[in-house]
Amino acid sequence: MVEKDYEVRLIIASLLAEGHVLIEGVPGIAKTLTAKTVAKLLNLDFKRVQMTPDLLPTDIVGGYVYDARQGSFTLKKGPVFTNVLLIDEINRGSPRTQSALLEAMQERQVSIEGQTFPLEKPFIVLATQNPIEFEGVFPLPEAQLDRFLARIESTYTSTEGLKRIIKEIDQIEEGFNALSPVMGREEVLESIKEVRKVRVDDSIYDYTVRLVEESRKHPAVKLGASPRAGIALVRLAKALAYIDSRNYVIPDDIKSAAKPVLSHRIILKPEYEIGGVNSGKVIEDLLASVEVPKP
Amino acid sequence: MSNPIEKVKKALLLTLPLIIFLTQTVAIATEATEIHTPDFPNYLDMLYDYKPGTQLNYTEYLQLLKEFFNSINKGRDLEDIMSDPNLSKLQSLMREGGDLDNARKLDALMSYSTLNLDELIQGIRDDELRSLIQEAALTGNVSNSLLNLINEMYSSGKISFDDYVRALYALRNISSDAESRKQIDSLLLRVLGNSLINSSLNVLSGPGSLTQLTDQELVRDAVNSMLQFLSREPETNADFMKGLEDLLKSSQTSPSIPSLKIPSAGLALPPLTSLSIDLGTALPFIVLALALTISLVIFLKQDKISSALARITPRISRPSYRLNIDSRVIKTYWNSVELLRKKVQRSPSDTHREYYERVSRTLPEVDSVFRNITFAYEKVRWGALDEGALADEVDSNYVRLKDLVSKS
Repeated sequence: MVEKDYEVRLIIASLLAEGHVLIEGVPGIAKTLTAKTVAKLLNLDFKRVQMTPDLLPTDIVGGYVYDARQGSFTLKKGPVFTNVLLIDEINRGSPRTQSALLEAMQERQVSIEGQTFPLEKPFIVLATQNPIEFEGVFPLPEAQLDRFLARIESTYTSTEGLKRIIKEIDQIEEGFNALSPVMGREEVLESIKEVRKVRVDDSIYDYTVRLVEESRKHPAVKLGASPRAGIALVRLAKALAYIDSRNYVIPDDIKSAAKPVLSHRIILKPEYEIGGVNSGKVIEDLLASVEVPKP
Repeated sequence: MSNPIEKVKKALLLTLPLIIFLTQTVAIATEATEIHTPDFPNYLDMLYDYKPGTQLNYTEYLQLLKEFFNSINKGRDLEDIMSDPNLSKLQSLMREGGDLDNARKLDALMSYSTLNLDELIQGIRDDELRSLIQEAALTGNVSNSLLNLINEMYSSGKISFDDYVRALYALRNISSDAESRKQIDSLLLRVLGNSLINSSLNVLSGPGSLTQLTDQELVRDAVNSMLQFLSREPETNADFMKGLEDLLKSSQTSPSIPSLKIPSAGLALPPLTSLSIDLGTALPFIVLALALTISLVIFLKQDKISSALARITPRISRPSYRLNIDSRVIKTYWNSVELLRKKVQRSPSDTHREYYERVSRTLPEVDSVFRNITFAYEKVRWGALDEGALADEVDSNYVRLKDLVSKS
C-alpha cells in the first residue's frame, strides 16, 4: 500500500471499536484494495457487494430458496454473513436495500422470514462512495450516515507516491497476493475486548462532551453532533490508543478521532456551504477553540 | 486562600480601567452640554431666570422696539447699538414674554461684541468655518466671497447662529478695510433686526397681547419702524413682512375683539438652579468614592467574581495553570510549561504532545529533556501510572531544562 497508512490505521481502529467505515473518494484510488488488504492481513472472511439500483435486500442478507432435490426451502445466506463486508458504491443501491444493510450494521443480526440470525464477530462494513456522482445515486440520509463510526476521505497520493505506484504496480499486485495474515480472528476478538478496557480519564469524557456540544453552537452548523457521535468519538479514541500501544486515552486520541467521526455527522447551513465552508473546517475550528483538559 | 496583598493588587488593577473610563465619561458629559447640532435650542440655561406667569409690559416693550428700529434706520453705529443699555432691557423683556430663543440670540450678539479675535475663533465649533476664519486672520483679507460663503453656510443650516455671529465679529476684527467692515456691520444689524422682529411677532401674537395694548398708535409706529428696516434690506424676509402687516391690520381692528383672558401658559419647572452641580469640583470625589467602593466589593467578593469571570470567559481567558493534583510529575510538567511558555506560546487547545512538537521544533536543544518530562506526565496524568521513580527523573530533567532555557 502506498500512502494509505492513515486509511489502514483508521479501518483497523474502527474494526477494534466495533464500528463501520464509510470510505469516500474518487474512483481509482485503491479504496477496494485497502479494504481487501485489511481483511487479508487480519485473516478475516471477506466479501464484496457491488451496489446497483436493482439490487434487492435479499441479495445482501439472503433468503430461503426452493431446493428441488430436497423438495423444501433451504436458507441461502447472503454476503452479509462475513467478517469484512465491502460495499462498493453504497449510494448506488436503492434506499430499501441500503436500509436492510444498515439495519444489519446496527443490530449485527439479520431477520430472514421472521427468523433472526446473528452475524459472526467481528463484523465490519467498509462502504465506499464516490462524492462526485449525482446521477443514478441515492445519497444516504443523515440518520443512516450516523451509523458509520468513521468516514475516511481517501485522496490522491502525492506525486512521489503516484510515481511509485505506476512504477511498482506489478510488485504491488504480487505483494498483495503474497500477503500473509499478521493475526487471526481470535486475536482480533481478544483485541476488541482489550480496547474496551482502555482507561479513559473523566476529564476526557468532559472534553468529548464539550466538543459535541460546541459542534451544535458553531455558526456554520445546522445540525451538530449527536450523542451517538460522542460515544463513537471515545470508542475510536480508545482503539487508536490501543493501536498506539497505550492502555489509556489522551486528548490527542480524541483529536485524531474527531475528523473521521464528526465529519459526516455535522450538517452545515447552505449559505456557509456555498461560501466554501466544509465540515472539516468546522471540526478544525472546534478543536482549536475547545480547551483541552488540564492540568 | 490567596494573599490579601495580592487580592488588593488585583482589585486595584481591575479598578484602574474603571477609573479611567469614569473620568473620560464625565469629562465627555461635561463637554457634551456645550455641544449641539446647529441651532439646537441652546437657551435652556435661561430657564433658571424665567419666571412663569410674569405679565409683560407690552407698552414698554413696543416703545423700546420703536426707538431701537428708528435709531437703526437713522444709520446708528453698530458698536453704539450693541452697547446701548436699552438693548439689554429689551432682551429681558423678550425673556419675560417667553421668547427665550431670540433673547439668547440677542445675548450672543451683545456678548460676542466684546470678545477679542482669539476668543471668537476658539469659540467657533464648526471646524471648516474656524479654519476659514483662521486663514482670513493670517492673510488679513476679508473678501466678499468669504462673506457670501459664510452666509450660505448659515442659511443652509450647516453652522449655528452662534458660530455665524462669532465669525462675523471675528471678520470685523480682522478687516482693516472700511468697506468690508460696513458690509459686516450691516450683516450683524440684519441679524439683530431679524431677531427683534421675529421676537416681536412671537410676543405680540401671544394670547391677549393686543387687547392689553390701548395705545394703537404705538403699535403702528413700532411696526412701521420695523417695516422700514425690512424695506432697507436687500433680501426682505417675506414672512416677517407679512407677519408685521397682519399685525398692523390687527392693531387697527383689535378694539372690537372681545378680551379673552387666557391664563399664561407658564412652565411648571422645578427650580433647576438647586440641581446644578459644579462637576469640576465634585468629579474627583465621585470617581474616588466609586473606585473605593468597587475596590472594596472586589476585595470582599473576589472569589465569587473570579469564578463568575471564569465561567463567562472560558475561552478567551489565559489558561489557568493552577495545580490541583498532588503529583510531583504533573506539577513539574506544568512548571516546565510555564518556563517554556515565555519562548513558545501554548494555546489552551493544545495537547501536551502538540506542545511538545512545537517546543521541539522551536528549541531543539531542550527536545530530549522536555520529551522525558512530557511523556512522564502523560503516563501519570492520563495513564494513572504510579509516579514512583519517575518523579526523581522528571525533577532532574526539570533542573536541566531550566539550565538549557536560561542559556538559550
